[in-house]
Amino acid sequence: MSLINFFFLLPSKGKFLNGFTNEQLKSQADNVWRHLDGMSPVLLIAGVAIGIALAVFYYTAYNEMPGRHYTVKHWTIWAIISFVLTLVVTAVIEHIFIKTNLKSGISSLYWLCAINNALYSLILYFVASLVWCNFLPTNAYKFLKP
Amino acid sequence: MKRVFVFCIGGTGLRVMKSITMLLAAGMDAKGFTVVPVLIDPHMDLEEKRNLQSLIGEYETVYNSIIMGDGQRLPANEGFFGTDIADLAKLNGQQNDISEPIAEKRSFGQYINYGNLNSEDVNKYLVQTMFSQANLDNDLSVGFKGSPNVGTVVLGEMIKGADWFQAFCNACQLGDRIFIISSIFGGTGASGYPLLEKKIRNSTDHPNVKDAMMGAVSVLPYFALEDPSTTDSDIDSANFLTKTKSALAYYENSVLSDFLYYIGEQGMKKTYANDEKKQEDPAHFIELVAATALFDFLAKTDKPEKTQALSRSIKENVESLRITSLGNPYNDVVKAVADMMLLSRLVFLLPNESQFPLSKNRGFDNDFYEDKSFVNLRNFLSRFAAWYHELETNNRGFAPLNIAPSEDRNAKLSNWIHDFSLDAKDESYYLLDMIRASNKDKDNSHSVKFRRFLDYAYKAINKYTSKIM
Repeated sequence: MSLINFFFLLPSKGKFLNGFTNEQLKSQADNVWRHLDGMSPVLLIAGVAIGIALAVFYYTAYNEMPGRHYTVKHWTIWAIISFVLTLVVTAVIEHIFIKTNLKSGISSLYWLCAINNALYSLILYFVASLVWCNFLPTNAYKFLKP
Repeated sequence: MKRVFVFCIGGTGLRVMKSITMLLAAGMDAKGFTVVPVLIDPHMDLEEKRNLQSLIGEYETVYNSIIMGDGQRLPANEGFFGTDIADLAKLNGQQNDISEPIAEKRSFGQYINYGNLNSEDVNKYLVQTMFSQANLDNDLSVGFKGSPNVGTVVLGEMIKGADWFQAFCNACQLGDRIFIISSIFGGTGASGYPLLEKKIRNSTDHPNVKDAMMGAVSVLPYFALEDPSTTDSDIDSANFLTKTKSALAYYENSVLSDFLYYIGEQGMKKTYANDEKKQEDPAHFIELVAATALFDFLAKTDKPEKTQALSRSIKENVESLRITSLGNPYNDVVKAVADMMLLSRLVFLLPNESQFPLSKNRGFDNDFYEDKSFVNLRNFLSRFAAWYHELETNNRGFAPLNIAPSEDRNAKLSNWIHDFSLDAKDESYYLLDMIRASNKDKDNSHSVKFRRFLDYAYKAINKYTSKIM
């Protein structure tokens, strides 16, 4: 199973390729898709890592600092940071590592993939928070603990 | 548990005891002694006395909320309310208030049966020589109005058969200590101190009493009163110094205490209203200094061969005292007061801190903040703040704190103590360290939330303010 299927916001490969009328462009678009597919594990790992890492940082080091960091407001700020950071990191990886001559038609693919990955990061941030709140010591407010 | 019986004689005795109570609440170290106050003031219905009794009652209530739980008596906490203040009557298993009977409704003339003396009786002439007509007309229910010659006669008789003295003798055990607080320039304190001291040292039937280590603080004049000719009062503060000199001359050869502390004010004396019925005098720095004498006395380990006379000074002669002008020996007092005012800040902010982690982890929730233990603490802290405000605004002022507005959640607290920088920049530092203290707390021997609350608060505050010491 191709890991690119985890990015549920992406259009199907066929739909994506249909956006290119010229065969040469279609071939290049197919190349982009294959590259993206190949990079999917890296992107997913990056998203997951960012989500978990930021949750761990929030529940440990960040809450060892004064400033009422224990509030839900600060947790939310770090959730947003997790989302935005993953979005940016994913987009940067895509742009750096996928070599193509296509000038148009792939930005939406990249950004949809980045948004999807950011959502996963956010979910992992939430899941990690849920685990931390319920099972691990922290100075933060355990609002996810029943 | 070793105890120190603190005899508070007269108005000054009561006021110093108020300072002692405040300092104990703030965590001053009583070296493991239980403090047993005995209030001696013939002044009936004195509001100041009732206030002190209610203050001590509130202290005991808070203290009991800390140490009583799960059907067991827990050891005292370190820090806030860390010392037991016990009731003498309860020590003896009595329910009645035995500190009350020192009161007399008659005039002094009636008390000594002056009216029944024959007009040619030589005793009548003797009485007339020793006491003025104003003395004889004194209504004893408002005290001795600054007349030690009256106090000596009346108090001597009152102490003789007093229930409280017997109760004290019964309660005093080997190793217990005695501390007497009085003024030297008034009536009740100046006369009561030597009388009580003699009575104690002559208690041959009770060797634990007779041989107990005894300290005393004698407060020299530190305030003035309005001109009695304009206030229709019998007390003239112009005589305070003369009375002090006479009393000191007497004390020189008669003092029986092991440690005698002299505390007074030479320069800045505030003029109070001259109303012996009310005596609504605000708290004064000198009373605070006199209170510290008790803690100094409790830190003494050996009984000296002869009386040690001690006193305290300040570093700089200024109107408003701060940590630098007070001098290093007062750092413990400044710390205690700073700690308590910080606790006050936490106590007033935390009920509104809905996402404070300990609300979930330790149950410091709305129910906890509405519980009577917490409400009692809050009430006590209000009285503490009022007391500090009086000290701060009196003359000379004790004003080492720079108290930020309590409603300002982002207020800078690093300069909470004037001329001193604390590492805690704002209140979030203290909140964080309360959480840390909770996380470190592995004591499952009780479930007294209130005890944990004060424990965490003290650890958090002490972490930063201990830098003063």
